[in-house]
Amino acid sequence: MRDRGLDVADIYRDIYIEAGDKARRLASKYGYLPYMVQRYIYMLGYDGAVKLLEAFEKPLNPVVRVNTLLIDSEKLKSRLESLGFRLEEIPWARDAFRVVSKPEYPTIGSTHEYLKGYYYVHRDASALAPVLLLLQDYKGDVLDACAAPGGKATFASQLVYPHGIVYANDISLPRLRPLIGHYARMKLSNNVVTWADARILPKVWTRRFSRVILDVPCSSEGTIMNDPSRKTKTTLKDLSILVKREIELLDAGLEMLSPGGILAYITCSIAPEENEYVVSRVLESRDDADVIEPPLKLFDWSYGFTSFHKLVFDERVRNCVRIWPHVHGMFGFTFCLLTKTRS
Amino acid sequence: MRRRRKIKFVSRPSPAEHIEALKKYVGEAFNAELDLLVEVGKLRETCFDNICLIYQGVNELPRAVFSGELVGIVIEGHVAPSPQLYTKLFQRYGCRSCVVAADKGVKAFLYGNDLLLESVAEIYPPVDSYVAVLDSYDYSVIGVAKWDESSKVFKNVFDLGVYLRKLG
Repeated sequence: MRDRGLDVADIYRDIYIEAGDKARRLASKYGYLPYMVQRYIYMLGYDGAVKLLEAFEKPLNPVVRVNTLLIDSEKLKSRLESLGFRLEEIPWARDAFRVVSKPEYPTIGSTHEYLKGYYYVHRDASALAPVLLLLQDYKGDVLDACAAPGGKATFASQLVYPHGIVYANDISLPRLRPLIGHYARMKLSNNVVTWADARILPKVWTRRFSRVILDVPCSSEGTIMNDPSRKTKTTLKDLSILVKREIELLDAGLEMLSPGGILAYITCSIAPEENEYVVSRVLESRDDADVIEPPLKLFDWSYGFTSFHKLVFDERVRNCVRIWPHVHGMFGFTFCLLTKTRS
Repeated sequence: MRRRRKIKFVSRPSPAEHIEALKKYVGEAFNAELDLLVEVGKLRETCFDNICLIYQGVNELPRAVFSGELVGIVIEGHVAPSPQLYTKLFQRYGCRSCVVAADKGVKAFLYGNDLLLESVAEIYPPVDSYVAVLDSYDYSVIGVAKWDESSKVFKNVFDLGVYLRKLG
Protein backbone atom coordinates (compact mmCIF):
# COMPACT_ATOMS: atom_id res chain seq x y z
CA MET A 1 0.00 0.00 0.00
CA ARG A 2 1.20 3.49 -0.79
CA ASP A 3 2.51 5.63 2.02
CA ARG A 4 0.88 8.83 0.86
CA GLY A 5 1.41 10.96 3.99
CA LEU A 6 -2.11 12.29 3.77
CA ASP A 7 -2.71 15.42 5.73
CA VAL A 8 -6.18 16.57 6.79
CA ALA A 9 -5.04 20.19 6.65
CA ASP A 10 -4.05 19.77 2.97
CA ILE A 11 -7.38 18.19 2.18
CA TYR A 12 -9.15 20.99 4.02
CA ARG A 13 -7.30 23.56 1.95
CA ASP A 14 -8.23 21.71 -1.24
CA ILE A 15 -11.92 21.45 -0.48
CA TYR A 16 -12.42 24.77 1.32
CA ILE A 17 -15.42 26.66 0.07
CA GLU A 18 -16.92 30.00 1.04
CA ALA A 19 -20.68 30.38 0.98
CA GLY A 20 -22.14 33.36 -0.87
CA ASP A 21 -25.27 35.32 -0.02
CA LYS A 22 -27.64 33.19 -2.09
CA ALA A 23 -26.32 30.00 -0.50
CA ARG A 24 -26.64 31.51 2.98
CA ARG A 25 -30.24 32.49 2.37
CA LEU A 26 -31.14 29.03 1.09
CA ALA A 27 -29.20 27.39 3.93
CA SER A 28 -31.12 29.45 6.46
CA LYS A 29 -34.46 28.63 4.81
CA TYR A 30 -33.85 24.85 4.66
CA GLY A 31 -31.72 24.54 7.82
CA TYR A 32 -28.32 23.60 6.31
CA LEU A 33 -24.73 24.56 6.91
CA PRO A 34 -24.12 27.31 4.31
CA TYR A 35 -21.07 25.65 2.72
CA MET A 36 -23.18 22.61 1.80
CA VAL A 37 -25.69 24.67 -0.14
CA GLN A 38 -22.93 26.63 -1.89
CA ARG A 39 -21.67 23.29 -3.21
CA TYR A 40 -25.14 22.40 -4.48
CA ILE A 41 -25.25 25.71 -6.35
CA TYR A 42 -21.81 25.05 -7.88
CA MET A 43 -22.85 21.56 -8.96
CA LEU A 44 -26.40 22.16 -10.14
CA GLY A 45 -26.92 25.91 -10.53
CA TYR A 46 -29.34 27.86 -8.34
CA ASP A 47 -32.57 26.30 -9.67
CA GLY A 48 -31.11 22.80 -9.52
CA ALA A 49 -29.97 23.38 -5.95
CA VAL A 50 -33.48 24.45 -4.95
CA LYS A 51 -34.91 21.32 -6.59
CA LEU A 52 -32.40 19.18 -4.69
CA LEU A 53 -33.21 20.90 -1.40
CA GLU A 54 -36.92 20.35 -2.04
CA ALA A 55 -36.31 16.65 -2.79
CA PHE A 56 -34.42 16.39 0.49
CA GLU A 57 -37.59 17.50 2.28
CA LYS A 58 -39.49 14.39 1.16
CA PRO A 59 -38.61 11.13 2.98
CA LEU A 60 -38.36 8.01 0.82
CA ASN A 61 -40.12 4.75 1.53
CA PRO A 62 -38.03 1.61 2.10
CA VAL A 63 -37.34 -1.07 -0.48
CA VAL A 64 -37.84 -4.78 0.02
CA ARG A 65 -35.31 -7.10 -1.61
CA VAL A 66 -36.58 -10.66 -1.90
CA ASN A 67 -34.42 -13.53 -0.69
CA THR A 68 -35.09 -15.60 -3.78
CA LEU A 69 -33.22 -18.55 -2.28
CA LEU A 70 -36.12 -18.94 0.17
CA ILE A 71 -39.21 -17.58 -1.60
CA ASP A 72 -40.47 -16.58 -5.00
CA SER A 73 -40.89 -12.81 -5.52
CA GLU A 74 -44.51 -12.96 -6.57
CA LYS A 75 -45.41 -15.17 -3.63
CA LEU A 76 -43.76 -12.78 -1.16
CA LYS A 77 -45.39 -9.80 -2.83
CA SER A 78 -48.84 -11.30 -2.48
CA ARG A 79 -48.17 -12.30 1.15
CA LEU A 80 -47.08 -8.78 2.06
CA GLU A 81 -49.99 -7.27 0.15
CA SER A 82 -52.37 -9.50 2.10
CA LEU A 83 -50.98 -7.85 5.25
CA GLY A 84 -51.89 -4.41 3.86
CA PHE A 85 -48.61 -3.33 2.23
CA ARG A 86 -48.69 -1.87 -1.26
CA LEU A 87 -45.56 -2.63 -3.25
CA GLU A 88 -44.24 -1.17 -6.47
CA GLU A 89 -41.71 -2.90 -8.70
CA ILE A 90 -38.28 -1.34 -9.20
CA PRO A 91 -38.05 -1.49 -13.02
CA TRP A 92 -34.29 -2.06 -13.15
CA ALA A 93 -33.94 -4.40 -10.16
CA ARG A 94 -35.63 -7.74 -10.40
CA ASP A 95 -36.95 -9.10 -7.09
CA ALA A 96 -37.05 -5.70 -5.38
CA PHE A 97 -40.09 -3.60 -4.51
CA ARG A 98 -40.59 -0.17 -3.01
CA VAL A 99 -43.11 -0.06 -0.17
CA VAL A 100 -45.63 2.49 -1.41
CA SER A 101 -48.00 2.29 1.54
CA LYS A 102 -48.15 0.30 4.72
CA PRO A 103 -50.68 -0.84 7.28
CA GLU A 104 -50.74 0.49 10.82
CA TYR A 105 -49.32 -2.83 11.96
CA PRO A 106 -46.96 -4.69 11.47
CA THR A 107 -43.99 -2.63 10.30
CA ILE A 108 -42.12 -3.89 7.23
CA GLY A 109 -39.23 -4.92 9.48
CA SER A 110 -41.27 -7.05 11.85
CA THR A 111 -43.54 -9.26 9.74
CA HIS A 112 -43.28 -13.03 10.08
CA GLU A 113 -42.01 -13.09 6.53
CA TYR A 114 -39.17 -10.78 7.55
CA LEU A 115 -38.32 -12.87 10.62
CA LYS A 116 -38.26 -15.95 8.40
CA GLY A 117 -35.60 -14.32 6.25
CA TYR A 118 -37.72 -13.93 3.13
CA TYR A 119 -36.49 -10.40 2.48
CA TYR A 120 -34.11 -7.60 3.43
CA VAL A 121 -35.30 -4.04 4.00
CA HIS A 122 -33.14 -1.41 2.29
CA ARG A 123 -33.63 2.25 3.10
CA ASP A 124 -33.67 2.88 -0.66
CA ALA A 125 -33.11 1.18 -4.02
CA SER A 126 -29.93 3.08 -4.89
CA ALA A 127 -27.72 0.62 -2.96
CA LEU A 128 -28.77 -2.22 -5.27
CA ALA A 129 -27.32 -0.67 -8.42
CA PRO A 130 -23.55 -0.97 -7.75
CA VAL A 131 -23.90 -4.55 -6.51
CA LEU A 132 -25.90 -5.56 -9.61
CA LEU A 133 -23.29 -3.96 -11.87
CA LEU A 134 -20.26 -5.29 -10.00
CA LEU A 135 -21.55 -8.86 -9.99
CA GLN A 136 -23.00 -8.87 -13.49
CA ASP A 137 -22.17 -12.32 -14.92
CA TYR A 138 -19.83 -13.06 -12.00
CA LYS A 139 -19.98 -16.15 -9.79
CA GLY A 140 -16.86 -16.12 -7.60
CA ASP A 141 -15.82 -14.87 -4.17
CA VAL A 142 -16.46 -11.26 -3.14
CA LEU A 143 -14.98 -9.04 -0.45
CA ASP A 144 -17.35 -6.51 1.11
CA ALA A 145 -14.83 -4.49 3.10
CA CYS A 146 -17.20 -2.22 5.06
CA ALA A 147 -20.17 -4.54 5.13
CA ALA A 148 -22.36 -3.75 8.14
CA PRO A 149 -25.30 -3.77 8.49
CA GLY A 150 -25.30 -6.20 5.58
CA GLY A 151 -27.61 -5.04 2.79
CA LYS A 152 -25.03 -5.28 0.03
CA ALA A 153 -23.26 -8.29 1.53
CA THR A 154 -26.42 -10.41 1.77
CA PHE A 155 -27.42 -9.28 -1.72
CA ALA A 156 -24.00 -10.30 -3.03
CA SER A 157 -24.34 -13.66 -1.27
CA GLN A 158 -27.62 -14.24 -3.08
CA LEU A 159 -26.16 -13.25 -6.44
CA VAL A 160 -23.06 -15.47 -6.29
CA TYR A 161 -24.73 -18.43 -4.56
CA PRO A 162 -23.77 -21.31 -4.66
CA HIS A 163 -20.47 -20.67 -6.47
CA GLY A 164 -18.95 -17.86 -4.45
CA ILE A 165 -18.45 -16.85 -0.84
CA VAL A 166 -18.90 -13.28 0.40
CA TYR A 167 -16.27 -12.12 2.89
CA ALA A 168 -18.17 -9.51 4.86
CA ASN A 169 -15.89 -7.36 6.96
CA ASP A 170 -16.59 -4.43 9.25
CA ILE A 171 -14.70 -2.41 11.83
CA SER A 172 -17.63 -1.85 14.18
CA LEU A 173 -18.59 -4.54 16.66
CA PRO A 174 -22.06 -3.11 17.39
CA ARG A 175 -22.72 -3.14 13.63
CA LEU A 176 -21.37 -6.67 13.16
CA ARG A 177 -24.17 -7.93 15.36
CA PRO A 178 -26.99 -7.16 12.89
CA LEU A 179 -24.74 -8.25 10.00
CA ILE A 180 -24.44 -11.74 11.49
CA GLY A 181 -28.10 -11.60 12.45
CA HIS A 182 -29.12 -10.95 8.83
CA TYR A 183 -26.98 -13.84 7.57
CA ALA A 184 -28.50 -16.20 10.16
CA ARG A 185 -32.04 -14.90 9.56
CA MET A 186 -31.80 -15.16 5.77
CA LYS A 187 -30.12 -18.59 5.96
CA LEU A 188 -27.39 -17.51 3.56
CA SER A 189 -24.53 -19.91 4.18
CA ASN A 190 -21.96 -18.58 1.69
CA ASN A 191 -20.43 -16.06 4.05
CA VAL A 192 -17.40 -15.35 6.19
CA VAL A 193 -17.87 -12.41 8.57
CA THR A 194 -14.73 -10.70 9.85
CA TRP A 195 -14.01 -7.91 12.28
CA ALA A 196 -11.24 -5.57 11.19
CA ASP A 197 -10.43 -2.09 10.03
CA ALA A 198 -10.51 -2.50 6.24
CA ARG A 199 -7.35 -0.41 6.03
CA ILE A 200 -5.31 -3.20 7.64
CA LEU A 201 -6.72 -6.05 5.55
CA PRO A 202 -3.90 -5.97 2.94
CA LYS A 203 -1.44 -6.56 5.80
CA VAL A 204 -3.29 -9.32 7.64
CA TRP A 205 -4.78 -11.30 4.72
CA THR A 206 -2.73 -12.81 1.96
CA ARG A 207 -5.62 -13.62 -0.33
CA ARG A 208 -6.95 -11.19 -2.91
CA PHE A 209 -10.36 -10.89 -4.60
CA SER A 210 -11.72 -10.48 -8.10
CA ARG A 211 -14.60 -8.38 -6.81
CA VAL A 212 -14.53 -5.87 -3.94
CA ILE A 213 -17.45 -3.85 -2.59
CA LEU A 214 -16.24 -0.76 -0.78
CA ASP A 215 -19.17 1.20 0.64
CA VAL A 216 -17.17 3.55 2.80
CA PRO A 217 -18.40 5.30 5.96
CA CYS A 218 -19.24 8.77 4.66
CA SER A 219 -21.13 11.95 5.45
CA SER A 220 -24.38 10.30 4.23
CA GLU A 221 -25.22 13.63 2.64
CA GLY A 222 -27.42 11.83 0.12
CA THR A 223 -29.78 10.51 2.77
CA ILE A 224 -30.86 13.83 4.26
CA MET A 225 -34.51 13.17 3.34
CA ASN A 226 -34.56 10.28 5.82
CA ASP A 227 -32.07 11.75 8.31
CA PRO A 228 -32.39 15.55 8.47
CA SER A 229 -29.71 15.72 11.19
CA ARG A 230 -27.24 15.43 8.31
CA LYS A 231 -28.10 18.98 7.26
CA THR A 232 -25.79 20.32 9.95
CA LYS A 233 -23.78 17.32 11.11
CA THR A 234 -20.68 17.53 8.90
CA THR A 235 -18.54 20.65 9.03
CA LEU A 236 -15.86 21.19 6.39
CA LYS A 237 -13.30 20.06 8.96
CA ASP A 238 -15.28 16.85 9.60
CA LEU A 239 -15.56 16.36 5.86
CA SER A 240 -11.78 16.62 5.48
CA ILE A 241 -11.31 13.90 8.09
CA LEU A 242 -13.85 11.68 6.31
CA VAL A 243 -12.16 12.27 2.96
CA LYS A 244 -8.78 11.27 4.38
CA ARG A 245 -10.22 8.00 5.65
CA GLU A 246 -12.01 7.42 2.34
CA ILE A 247 -8.75 7.83 0.41
CA GLU A 248 -7.04 5.35 2.75
CA LEU A 249 -9.91 2.88 2.43
CA LEU A 250 -9.96 3.06 -1.36
CA ASP A 251 -6.22 2.53 -1.48
CA ALA A 252 -6.53 -0.51 0.81
CA GLY A 253 -9.48 -1.80 -1.23
CA LEU A 254 -7.40 -1.67 -4.40
CA GLU A 255 -4.64 -3.57 -2.60
CA MET A 256 -7.18 -6.32 -1.86
CA LEU A 257 -8.09 -6.55 -5.55
CA SER A 258 -6.57 -9.14 -7.90
CA PRO A 259 -5.19 -7.89 -11.23
CA GLY A 260 -8.09 -7.60 -13.66
CA GLY A 261 -10.57 -7.49 -10.78
CA ILE A 262 -13.21 -4.83 -10.22
CA LEU A 263 -13.90 -2.74 -7.13
CA ALA A 264 -17.06 -0.72 -6.53
CA TYR A 265 -16.30 2.44 -4.56
CA ILE A 266 -19.60 3.57 -3.08
CA THR A 267 -20.87 6.43 -0.96
CA CYS A 268 -24.37 7.50 -0.04
CA SER A 269 -23.15 11.03 -0.58
CA ILE A 270 -23.41 13.55 -3.38
CA ALA A 271 -20.29 15.38 -2.22
CA PRO A 272 -17.67 15.57 -5.01
CA GLU A 273 -15.10 15.77 -2.22
CA GLU A 274 -16.02 12.25 -1.08
CA ASN A 275 -16.25 10.83 -4.58
CA GLU A 276 -14.49 12.31 -7.60
CA TYR A 277 -11.87 13.97 -5.38
CA VAL A 278 -11.14 10.72 -3.47
CA VAL A 279 -10.91 8.65 -6.65
CA SER A 280 -8.73 11.24 -8.38
CA ARG A 281 -6.33 11.43 -5.43
CA VAL A 282 -5.96 7.64 -5.46
CA LEU A 283 -5.53 7.47 -9.25
CA GLU A 284 -2.89 10.16 -8.99
CA SER A 285 -0.82 8.07 -6.60
CA ARG A 286 -1.13 4.72 -8.38
CA ASP A 287 -0.36 3.57 -11.89
CA ASP A 288 -2.21 0.25 -11.57
CA ALA A 289 -5.81 1.43 -11.36
CA ASP A 290 -8.40 2.67 -13.80
CA VAL A 291 -12.05 3.73 -13.69
CA ILE A 292 -14.26 1.68 -15.97
CA GLU A 293 -17.69 2.26 -17.42
CA PRO A 294 -20.50 0.20 -15.88
CA PRO A 295 -21.18 -2.89 -18.03
CA LEU A 296 -24.79 -1.85 -18.65
CA LYS A 297 -27.05 1.10 -18.05
CA LEU A 298 -29.71 0.15 -15.53
CA PHE A 299 -31.47 3.52 -15.76
CA ASP A 300 -30.72 7.02 -16.98
CA TRP A 301 -28.24 7.97 -14.27
CA SER A 302 -25.88 10.96 -14.26
CA TYR A 303 -22.10 10.82 -14.60
CA GLY A 304 -19.19 12.00 -12.47
CA PHE A 305 -17.90 15.56 -12.50
CA THR A 306 -14.49 16.24 -14.02
CA SER A 307 -14.23 19.55 -12.21
CA PHE A 308 -15.87 21.25 -9.27
CA HIS A 309 -15.33 24.74 -7.91
CA LYS A 310 -11.54 25.19 -7.99
CA LEU A 311 -10.81 21.45 -8.28
CA VAL A 312 -9.99 19.64 -11.53
CA PHE A 313 -10.38 15.88 -11.33
CA ASP A 314 -8.92 12.99 -13.27
CA GLU A 315 -10.84 12.73 -16.57
CA ARG A 316 -11.58 9.07 -15.90
CA VAL A 317 -13.98 9.88 -13.04
CA ARG A 318 -16.48 10.83 -15.73
CA ASN A 319 -17.27 7.08 -15.70
CA CYS A 320 -18.51 7.30 -12.11
CA VAL A 321 -22.26 7.13 -11.60
CA ARG A 322 -24.27 9.79 -9.78
CA ILE A 323 -27.81 9.34 -8.54
CA TRP A 324 -29.65 12.54 -7.67
CA PRO A 325 -32.71 12.69 -5.39
CA HIS A 326 -34.44 15.40 -7.46
CA VAL A 327 -33.77 13.63 -10.77
CA HIS A 328 -33.92 9.91 -9.98
CA GLY A 329 -36.21 9.85 -6.93
CA MET A 330 -33.68 7.97 -4.81
CA PHE A 331 -31.03 8.72 -2.20
CA GLY A 332 -28.17 10.87 -3.38
CA PHE A 333 -25.63 8.22 -4.18
CA THR A 334 -22.36 7.94 -6.05
CA PHE A 335 -20.30 4.96 -7.14
CA CYS A 336 -17.30 4.28 -9.33
CA LEU A 337 -16.13 0.96 -10.71
CA LEU A 338 -12.35 0.70 -10.61
CA THR A 339 -10.19 -2.02 -12.02
CA LYS A 340 -6.65 -3.05 -11.21
CA THR A 341 -4.61 -3.22 -14.34
CA ARG A 342 -1.65 -5.22 -12.98
CA SER A 343 -0.25 -6.63 -9.73
CA MET B 1 -25.35 12.55 28.23
CA ARG B 2 -26.02 9.15 26.68
CA ARG B 3 -23.45 6.54 27.62
CA ARG B 4 -22.41 3.95 25.10
CA ARG B 5 -23.20 0.47 26.40
CA LYS B 6 -20.38 -2.02 26.25
CA ILE B 7 -21.07 -5.21 24.32
CA LYS B 8 -19.91 -8.43 25.90
CA PHE B 9 -18.24 -10.17 22.99
CA VAL B 10 -16.60 -13.59 22.81
CA SER B 11 -15.30 -15.47 19.75
CA ARG B 12 -13.83 -18.91 20.39
CA PRO B 13 -13.87 -22.58 19.45
CA SER B 14 -17.11 -24.08 20.77
CA PRO B 15 -16.59 -25.34 24.33
CA ALA B 16 -16.68 -29.13 24.67
CA GLU B 17 -19.81 -29.03 26.85
CA HIS B 18 -21.76 -27.18 24.16
CA ILE B 19 -20.73 -29.67 21.48
CA GLU B 20 -21.56 -32.56 23.81
CA ALA B 21 -24.99 -31.11 24.53
CA LEU B 22 -25.75 -30.88 20.80
CA LYS B 23 -24.41 -34.38 20.16
CA LYS B 24 -26.48 -35.80 23.00
CA TYR B 25 -29.67 -34.20 21.77
CA VAL B 26 -29.18 -35.27 18.16
CA GLY B 27 -28.35 -38.78 19.35
CA GLU B 28 -31.39 -39.11 21.62
CA ALA B 29 -33.99 -37.36 19.47
CA PHE B 30 -32.92 -38.55 16.02
CA ASN B 31 -30.77 -41.58 16.83
CA ALA B 32 -28.14 -39.87 14.71
CA GLU B 33 -24.60 -38.62 14.96
CA LEU B 34 -23.91 -34.91 14.75
CA ASP B 35 -20.60 -35.65 13.03
CA LEU B 36 -22.49 -36.86 9.96
CA LEU B 37 -24.08 -33.44 9.52
CA VAL B 38 -21.37 -30.99 10.52
CA GLU B 39 -17.62 -31.01 10.98
CA VAL B 40 -17.63 -31.02 14.75
CA GLY B 41 -13.93 -30.19 14.97
CA LYS B 42 -14.53 -26.93 13.12
CA LEU B 43 -17.36 -25.67 15.34
CA ARG B 44 -16.83 -22.20 16.74
CA GLU B 45 -19.05 -19.77 18.55
CA THR B 46 -19.46 -16.05 18.74
CA CYS B 47 -21.31 -14.48 21.64
CA PHE B 48 -22.89 -11.06 21.88
CA ASP B 49 -23.99 -10.38 25.45
CA ASN B 50 -26.23 -13.32 26.41
CA ILE B 51 -26.60 -15.09 23.06
CA CYS B 52 -23.99 -17.33 21.44
CA LEU B 53 -24.15 -18.51 17.85
CA ILE B 54 -22.50 -21.83 17.06
CA TYR B 55 -21.30 -22.06 13.48
CA GLN B 56 -19.12 -24.19 11.32
CA GLY B 57 -16.05 -22.38 10.10
CA VAL B 58 -15.57 -22.70 6.35
CA ASN B 59 -11.93 -21.71 6.49
CA GLU B 60 -9.31 -20.25 8.71
CA LEU B 61 -9.02 -16.52 8.28
CA PRO B 62 -7.66 -14.00 10.77
CA ARG B 63 -10.42 -12.03 12.49
CA ALA B 64 -13.31 -14.27 11.35
CA VAL B 65 -16.24 -14.08 13.76
CA PHE B 66 -18.88 -16.03 11.84
CA SER B 67 -19.04 -18.16 8.75
CA GLY B 68 -21.22 -20.60 6.88
CA GLU B 69 -24.34 -21.94 8.47
CA LEU B 70 -25.70 -21.45 11.94
CA VAL B 71 -25.49 -24.82 13.72
CA GLY B 72 -26.74 -24.06 17.20
CA ILE B 73 -27.71 -21.38 19.66
CA VAL B 74 -26.71 -20.98 23.28
CA ILE B 75 -29.23 -18.84 25.10
CA GLU B 76 -30.14 -18.56 28.77
CA GLY B 77 -28.45 -21.83 29.66
CA HIS B 78 -29.94 -23.76 26.73
CA VAL B 79 -27.85 -25.27 23.95
CA ALA B 80 -30.27 -25.86 21.09
CA PRO B 81 -29.93 -26.82 17.42
CA SER B 82 -30.44 -24.00 14.92
CA PRO B 83 -33.35 -24.00 12.45
CA GLN B 84 -30.79 -24.82 9.75
CA LEU B 85 -29.58 -27.92 11.64
CA TYR B 86 -33.15 -29.03 12.28
CA THR B 87 -33.91 -28.69 8.58
CA LYS B 88 -30.95 -30.94 7.77
CA LEU B 89 -32.05 -33.47 10.40
CA PHE B 90 -35.60 -33.58 9.02
CA GLN B 91 -34.34 -34.03 5.47
CA ARG B 92 -32.20 -36.96 6.55
CA TYR B 93 -34.19 -38.63 9.32
CA GLY B 94 -37.76 -37.43 8.81
CA CYS B 95 -39.97 -35.29 10.99
CA ARG B 96 -39.19 -36.06 14.63
CA SER B 97 -38.94 -34.12 17.83
CA CYS B 98 -41.06 -31.28 16.53
CA VAL B 99 -44.43 -29.64 16.88
CA VAL B 100 -46.41 -27.86 14.19
CA ALA B 101 -47.91 -24.60 15.41
CA ALA B 102 -51.26 -23.33 14.17
CA ASP B 103 -51.45 -19.78 12.84
CA LYS B 104 -52.30 -18.16 16.19
CA GLY B 105 -49.50 -20.05 17.89
CA VAL B 106 -46.98 -19.01 15.22
CA LYS B 107 -47.83 -15.34 15.72
CA ALA B 108 -47.37 -15.53 19.49
CA PHE B 109 -44.27 -17.73 19.34
CA LEU B 110 -42.40 -15.54 16.85
CA TYR B 111 -42.80 -12.60 19.18
CA GLY B 112 -41.13 -14.47 22.02
CA ASN B 113 -44.12 -16.09 23.71
CA ASP B 114 -44.56 -19.72 24.74
CA LEU B 115 -46.58 -22.12 22.63
CA LEU B 116 -49.84 -23.16 24.23
CA LEU B 117 -50.97 -26.75 23.76
CA GLU B 118 -54.20 -25.59 22.09
CA SER B 119 -52.09 -23.80 19.46
CA VAL B 120 -50.31 -27.00 18.46
CA ALA B 121 -51.69 -28.66 15.34
CA GLU B 122 -49.40 -31.71 15.16
CA ILE B 123 -46.87 -33.38 17.45
CA TYR B 124 -44.00 -35.60 16.30
CA PRO B 125 -42.29 -37.33 19.27
CA PRO B 126 -40.01 -37.50 21.11
CA VAL B 127 -40.91 -34.25 22.83
CA ASP B 128 -39.26 -34.79 26.21
CA SER B 129 -36.36 -32.43 25.40
CA TYR B 130 -36.06 -29.64 22.84
CA VAL B 131 -38.54 -29.62 19.98
CA ALA B 132 -38.43 -27.71 16.74
CA VAL B 133 -41.47 -25.48 16.26
CA LEU B 134 -42.76 -25.54 12.69
CA ASP B 135 -45.07 -23.07 10.98
CA SER B 136 -48.19 -24.89 9.75
CA TYR B 137 -48.24 -22.57 6.69
CA ASP B 138 -45.07 -23.92 5.07
CA TYR B 139 -43.59 -26.35 7.63
CA SER B 140 -40.49 -24.20 8.05
CA VAL B 141 -38.67 -24.16 11.41
CA ILE B 142 -39.48 -20.98 13.31
CA GLY B 143 -37.72 -21.79 16.57
CA VAL B 144 -37.09 -24.20 19.40
CA ALA B 145 -39.18 -24.94 22.49
CA LYS B 146 -39.15 -27.23 25.50
CA TRP B 147 -42.18 -28.90 27.08
CA ASP B 148 -42.91 -27.68 30.58
CA GLU B 149 -45.01 -30.16 32.49
CA SER B 150 -45.99 -27.78 35.27
CA SER B 151 -47.43 -25.05 33.07
CA LYS B 152 -48.43 -27.43 30.23
CA VAL B 153 -46.89 -25.23 27.54
CA PHE B 154 -43.98 -25.50 25.14
CA LYS B 155 -41.61 -22.92 26.62
CA ASN B 156 -39.98 -20.65 24.07
CA VAL B 157 -36.24 -21.33 24.05
CA PHE B 158 -35.45 -19.53 20.81
CA ASP B 159 -37.49 -18.13 17.95
CA LEU B 160 -36.55 -16.37 14.73
CA GLY B 161 -37.49 -13.04 16.30
CA VAL B 162 -34.40 -13.38 18.48
CA TYR B 163 -32.22 -12.23 15.58
CA LEU B 164 -34.11 -8.96 15.62
CA ARG B 165 -34.50 -8.66 19.38
CA LYS B 166 -30.97 -9.66 20.41
CA LEU B 167 -28.85 -8.84 17.37
CA GLY B 168 -30.71 -5.80 16.05
